[in-house]
Amino acid sequence: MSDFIISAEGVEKTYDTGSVQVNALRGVDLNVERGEIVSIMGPSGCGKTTLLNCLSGLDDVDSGRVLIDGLVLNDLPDDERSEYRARRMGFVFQMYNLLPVLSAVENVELPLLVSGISASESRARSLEMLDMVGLADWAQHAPGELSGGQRQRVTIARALVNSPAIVWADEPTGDLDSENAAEIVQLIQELNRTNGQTFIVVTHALEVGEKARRIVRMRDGSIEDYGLGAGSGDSGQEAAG
Amino acid sequence: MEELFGLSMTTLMYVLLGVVLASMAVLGVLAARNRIMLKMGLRPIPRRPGQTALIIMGVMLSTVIMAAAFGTGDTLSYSIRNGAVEWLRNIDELVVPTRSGEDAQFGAAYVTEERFEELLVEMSANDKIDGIMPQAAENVSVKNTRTGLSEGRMNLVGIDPAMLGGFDGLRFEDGREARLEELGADDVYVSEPSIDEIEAEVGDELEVFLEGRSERLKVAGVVSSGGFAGIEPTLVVPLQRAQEMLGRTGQINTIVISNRGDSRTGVDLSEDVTKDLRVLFNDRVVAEELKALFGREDVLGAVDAKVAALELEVGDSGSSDELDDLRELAAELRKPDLTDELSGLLADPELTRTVVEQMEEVELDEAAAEAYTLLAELAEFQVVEIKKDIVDASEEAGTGVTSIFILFSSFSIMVGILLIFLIFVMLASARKSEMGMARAVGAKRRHLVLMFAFEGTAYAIVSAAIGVVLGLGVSMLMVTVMNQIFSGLDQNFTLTIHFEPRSVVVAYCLGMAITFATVVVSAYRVSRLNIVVAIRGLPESIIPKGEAGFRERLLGLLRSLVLPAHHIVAAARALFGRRFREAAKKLGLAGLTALPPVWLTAIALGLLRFIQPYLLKGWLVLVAGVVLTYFGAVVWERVSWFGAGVSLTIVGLGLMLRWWLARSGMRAEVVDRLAYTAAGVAMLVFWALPDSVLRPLVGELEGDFDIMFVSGVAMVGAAVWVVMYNSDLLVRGLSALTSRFGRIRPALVTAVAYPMSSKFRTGLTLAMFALVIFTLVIMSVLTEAFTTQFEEPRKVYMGYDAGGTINFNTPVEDIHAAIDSAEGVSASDFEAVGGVTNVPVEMRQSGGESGRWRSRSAMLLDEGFLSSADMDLKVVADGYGPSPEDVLRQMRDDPSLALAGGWLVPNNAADIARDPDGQRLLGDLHYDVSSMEAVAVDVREPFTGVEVSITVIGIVDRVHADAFRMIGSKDLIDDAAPFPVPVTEYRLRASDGVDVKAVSNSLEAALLENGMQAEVFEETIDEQNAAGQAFFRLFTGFMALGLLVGVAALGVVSTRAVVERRQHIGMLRAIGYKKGMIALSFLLESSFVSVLGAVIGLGLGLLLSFNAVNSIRAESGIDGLSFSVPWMQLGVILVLTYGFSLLTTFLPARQASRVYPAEALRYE
Repeated sequence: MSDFIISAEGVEKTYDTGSVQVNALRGVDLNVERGEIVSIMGPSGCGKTTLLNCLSGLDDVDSGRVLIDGLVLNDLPDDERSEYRARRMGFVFQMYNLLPVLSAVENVELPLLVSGISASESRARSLEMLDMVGLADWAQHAPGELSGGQRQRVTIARALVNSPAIVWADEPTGDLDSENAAEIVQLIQELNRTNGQTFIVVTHALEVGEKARRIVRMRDGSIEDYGLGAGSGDSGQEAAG
Repeated sequence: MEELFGLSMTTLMYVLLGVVLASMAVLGVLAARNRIMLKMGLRPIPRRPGQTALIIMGVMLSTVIMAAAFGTGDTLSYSIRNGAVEWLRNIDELVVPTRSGEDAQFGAAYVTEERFEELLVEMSANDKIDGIMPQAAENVSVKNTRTGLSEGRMNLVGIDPAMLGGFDGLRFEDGREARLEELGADDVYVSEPSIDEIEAEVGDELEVFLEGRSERLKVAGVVSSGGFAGIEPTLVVPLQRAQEMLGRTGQINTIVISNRGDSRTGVDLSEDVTKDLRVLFNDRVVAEELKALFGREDVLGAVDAKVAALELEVGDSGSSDELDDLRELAAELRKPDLTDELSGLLADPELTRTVVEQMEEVELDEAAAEAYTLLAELAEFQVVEIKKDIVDASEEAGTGVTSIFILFSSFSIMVGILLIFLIFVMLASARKSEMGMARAVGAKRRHLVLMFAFEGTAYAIVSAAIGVVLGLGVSMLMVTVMNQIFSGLDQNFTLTIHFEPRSVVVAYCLGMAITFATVVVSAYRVSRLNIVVAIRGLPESIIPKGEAGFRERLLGLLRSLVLPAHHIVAAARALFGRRFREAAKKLGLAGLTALPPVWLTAIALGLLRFIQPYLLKGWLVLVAGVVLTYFGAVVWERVSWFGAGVSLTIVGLGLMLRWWLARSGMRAEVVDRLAYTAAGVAMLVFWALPDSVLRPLVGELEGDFDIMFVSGVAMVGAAVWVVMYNSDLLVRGLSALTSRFGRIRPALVTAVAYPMSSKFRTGLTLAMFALVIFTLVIMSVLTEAFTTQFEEPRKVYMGYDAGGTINFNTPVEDIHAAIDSAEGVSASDFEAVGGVTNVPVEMRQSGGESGRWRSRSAMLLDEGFLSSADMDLKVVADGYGPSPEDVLRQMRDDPSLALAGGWLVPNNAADIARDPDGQRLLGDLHYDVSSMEAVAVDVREPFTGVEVSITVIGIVDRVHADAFRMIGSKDLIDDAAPFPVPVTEYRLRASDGVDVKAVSNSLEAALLENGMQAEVFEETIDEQNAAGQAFFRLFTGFMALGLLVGVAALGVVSTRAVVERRQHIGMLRAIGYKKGMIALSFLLESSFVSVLGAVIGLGLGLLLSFNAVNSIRAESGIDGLSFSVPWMQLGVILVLTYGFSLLTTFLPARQASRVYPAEALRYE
């Protein structure tokens, strides 16, 4: 079995707005090793988020294949893909996307409920996870009562609570000030070190991207080049795709 | 339909049309000056056709309900009026003798043709009359010898062919004139309905049964119904022939009058003609005596006092027929001589009753008694305005039906208004950031109000039009159902669909005005948004609410008091500053605010702002509540006001508790929960209290439909309050309950969390559902209670299974002999046979305070009835009981003893206290007494004036169908009357195992000559129940239209939710929610609201109807009235409601499940 947890082969995606056709991804090939932190960078509209969506199964690909742990994700029916996401993936979004009507701990336990974990175990694991991200005292608060940084920590706790193999983060610091952004990046690094989970981080912020082990730079729907980030311990070097 | 809630429909139409057109004109001008806002307002309409359709549907529902009510009212008015015209044709009034002649016979009064000829001379001189017909008419039994079919009650009408001028005569079915002159001596015309009853054809021989003999007549033709041929099966012959047949040679019993004009317009002269005729028929000597009596200073003073009281009642602008007549009477009485006007007024029974009652009111009892005697002797004939009465009744019926439908559906209309409000609040929240941007780039608040007003008006214009059309459609459906009900009751009456253009305009304008007003209010609320909060989509709650200071509020109030002057000063200032445009604008505003409605609204708003802080602190609400409670209980004595007052007091206390707790430093949400839960629970406890608890405290209070409205709003409001402020407990409970169902748990978590987080929106939707279910539950339970109370025929009909009425012209000599000789019947078929004579009588208490005779019905029982009846007595006079058998035995022995039907006495002492005169006939006796003394009563036969005294020794239980009559022994009238009084009805108790229907039919056939018409009481009860239930169901169905509003609300909420929560749906899909889970979550969410609403509505409805049934039973004394829940019907209502709510949520739920995660996450 290959050690690539994620493999993309010739992934293409085109959006049709009716009057204009946008080639969001033009035959992207990418391999990610287990336990890596990979950042996908590039200017606005280059296809970063589309690539993340296609790799994570949130979106269909028009052609090419996406393999997660050797499983062809885009061949799975929608329900199976959802189930796979629930068990094996975690998501962090720029706008947090927490449900405002639930408390922090209720937001965190959602993926566990979907996976069929019992209510008591879900609650215990969620509180543990909130504790891990430093929000034990804020568990019963609604997202509206938390700061931006705290909200993003809740999102990370939610992404990690089901111990996923892969965590997908789309602009996780996009809505935060530099201090909070640095804290979040540090948290991701720590969790990666402790749990060995794979992180795919889409960002246009250099200070975030360069903390990854590898940096994938995109332009106009294609991967322009690969580089090593600070996380590789060999910053500035080119890396193989 | 001419009036609605006392307002003239024409005035209502012009006012509403004026308001709507003026609003549209103002809006039009504003639209021309604010084109961008117009575009922004109208743009979303074509862009989202699905949403637009849903909004239009929601907005139109209250218009549908109103238009349906108007359409049904119009149809009823028109049909009754039309029925009267078709039935009577040119006949406008009937003149009948008030006193019997020398050879009087029971129940009928005739006068000689000579007397008629004398009157004819004078009546012919009246140019408002174009037709006068002497008539002799009676009921007879008829058998068609060819077909063997018979009819026990056919009208035999004799008219003078020479006097047909002015009437449109008789016509054959093919339109040819049917000439009575051409009839042979033994020929007869039969009316069209006779074809159905006895299958009469030209040439058939009919046997007509008359008193002790029969005659044979040949059918010479079939004439169309209407006019002299009536609408019932009728035989028409020349007057002379009818007189011969009836043994009334040279006598008539009716003078038929046709007014100038045709069958529709003649009625317009009815009032004048009636007055003229009354003057003519009055005994001038008696009229002079009455003038002298009424002209006494003390009596005139009483009349003036009544005029003053009525003036106060109708207000400055109003007038009423009663008031006008009384004023005219007072003026005429002050003239020295007896004028024709006065003579006419004295013969108006309604007017003189008012005067004499007023005389009794001021304790001129002797004068009143004298007046009663004189009034009875005043007129030789009574004028019956037959067509006008029916036309007036048609108006009343139409207005009544519309008013009742609108009143009963007021919940639905209110819920419809809440829905419109909800729709626009949601529209606003969906466009919050767009509006925030607009405000950020310089749009003012009024621009946002305008934007919404433009959009709302566009919806209102279209939806009111669709609503009116659909409403009329609903009324057509209802009319069809009503026709089916009528076909079981009265085959001659059919409703013909008819809509007055005026009603259509009123319904449209009302719908428009309600929508427009709601839109403006919600737009104003929406416009007060915080720009940053709106742009960033943050919750409004993060902005602390500032309170205006006392000085600022006081200044605001003072400014509103002098608003036009304030604008004039501002205009003057602008003028001095040479800012002419501003000056012109301020002057325009001064003119606008000088309009009373605008000015008053401004003052009301100023006052509201001024007192708002005191309202929020609760003490002012408490004071208002206490004052209202006092007025409700002591001054107005209405339970609705009292209840509203107590509810307001509780709300005030709750607000005060909240304010006090807030000062203790508790968390706001805990404070709210404690205060509002306490207030809500207290309110629920208060409204759940049975009458028996409150009555000792506040005494007897009056209640009507209004109590259902007030209690509904208060109870449902309180329950929703309690639920919404304790929603987290509910969520926790549900969570614990569903922890075992792993699969649906994730869906349930979001399904419950979302509605519970939008307290206002969910509370509103919940209240809509609960209110409608609440009313439907009450209606269903009351229907059940009233239709099941009379189930046992023997119980209701005093121990008998069937009855047969007899034509009093052809009485049965010996019923037992008749049974013995009848085919198919034997004496052993019956356990008991009782004879009854039902007669109209006049009664008054002997030596009582009031000398007034009151018209009642008497049921006089023969020996057989008194020996075999099984009667329930509510109470028996001391010394006559104790058992009903004892009482009946004593009545057999002493014919002067009698029983009062339970409905002849007031319910209880409180009813007597409230209306001392009211129904009082037996002193202070009422239905609630546990013991009584015998009461002496005078009874008079109205035609002959024969007077007897009776002693009432008991009160008959109201469970009996005849409990509205005075019940006595037939021997009483046999002894007193100068002529034989026949039995008019026989009651039969069948032996065990005998087929009641079969023996009744056989007896009916055997006693055809006597005109017997049999009825099996079980069938009668079933028919009454079926018709009653059908009407209640129709009514319930109409009210259920409100459920559509609730269901539509859920649809709107769900559709909006899908749009608002798109990103959340994307996130849920990303973390593993499957499509089905998302759809399930939406369906569970709407189920949560509809089920919770249904549970609240059902619970509260059952509670209130339980109290209502007990209270009605206690007040009315109907022991058979019991609380039972029609679970089947309620089940159907609840299941259908839930099914439809799921159906309306299904589409949005499916739409939500199809949202693609990546796409949804990108959506803003």
